[in-house]
Amino acid sequence: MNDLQIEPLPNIDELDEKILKLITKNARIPFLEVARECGVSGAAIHQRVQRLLNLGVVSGSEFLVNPQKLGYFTCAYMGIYLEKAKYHKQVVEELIKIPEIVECHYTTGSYAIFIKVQTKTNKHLKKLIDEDLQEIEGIARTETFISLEMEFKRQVPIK
Amino acid sequence: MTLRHQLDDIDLKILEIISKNARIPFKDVAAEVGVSRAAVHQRVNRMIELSVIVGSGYHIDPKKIDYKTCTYIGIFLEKGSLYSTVTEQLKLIPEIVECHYTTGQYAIFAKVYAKDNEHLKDILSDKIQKISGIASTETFISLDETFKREVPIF
Repeated sequence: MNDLQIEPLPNIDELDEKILKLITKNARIPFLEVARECGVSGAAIHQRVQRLLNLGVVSGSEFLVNPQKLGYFTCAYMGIYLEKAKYHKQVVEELIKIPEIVECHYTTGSYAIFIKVQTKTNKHLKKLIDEDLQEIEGIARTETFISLEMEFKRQVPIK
Repeated sequence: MTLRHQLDDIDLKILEIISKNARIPFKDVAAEVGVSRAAVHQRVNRMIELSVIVGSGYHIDPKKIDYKTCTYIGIFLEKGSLYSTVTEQLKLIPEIVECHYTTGQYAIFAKVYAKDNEHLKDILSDKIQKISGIASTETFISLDETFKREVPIF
């Protein structure tokens, strides 16, 4: 936010894009298989992936967890209004301490802060709003949108 | 039905490690959790079967591949019954990375990545607002993604 310089975009060629397409869908794919598909050596894939990691194009790998199977049945988006805009920083510092908040954005439009919350039940969500969020100094009020169904979720397109 | 009670502490420990690093050798996971490598394999496969684990992947920083504008869009429909036809159309727009059916004032809530504001305008006016059934949209641009993480496993 305070970095006003525009970062130059890393140079990504077609081979990088091909590799990205494969490894973003399956993190444990053997690099030899990626190599075969791209028509280069295994060592080249290792090098390329390392370079993409160094450039920060990919930030790591993960197994994707299904929140519902872990008992997180309620997914909600919440818009937060602040008493004063200057409370933004201190409010965010408090929000990051609440583990059920999985995403937090500084947005334009009617809300100052926009968050995504995963809770076990609606009751758990109510408790989180009542006991955690409303207790944070600087938050005036909140608006909650419960997601009844997640239609889809995917990564950005790699052309 | 929650499957949580079918997962023991060892499962959850494994999940916590591999949800942060998918390419970690299972030998290392085994050492950290204190079971055999075969057991880690078995448990991971079981969690895949139970669809506790729904896949794996490297995560991309959208900014680095030129997607600089992250936006949430609230969509109003002309009629509630148009929901499924509209979502089918939304799914065809690759820049929409997430789509939810929500309570509250909007019928559909979507997350969109665009290259810049002009690209966002194109997506909005040429793609999203052309879908029949969509009455209007409201856009919230995220100026900064303060943080993003997975659900707590324990």
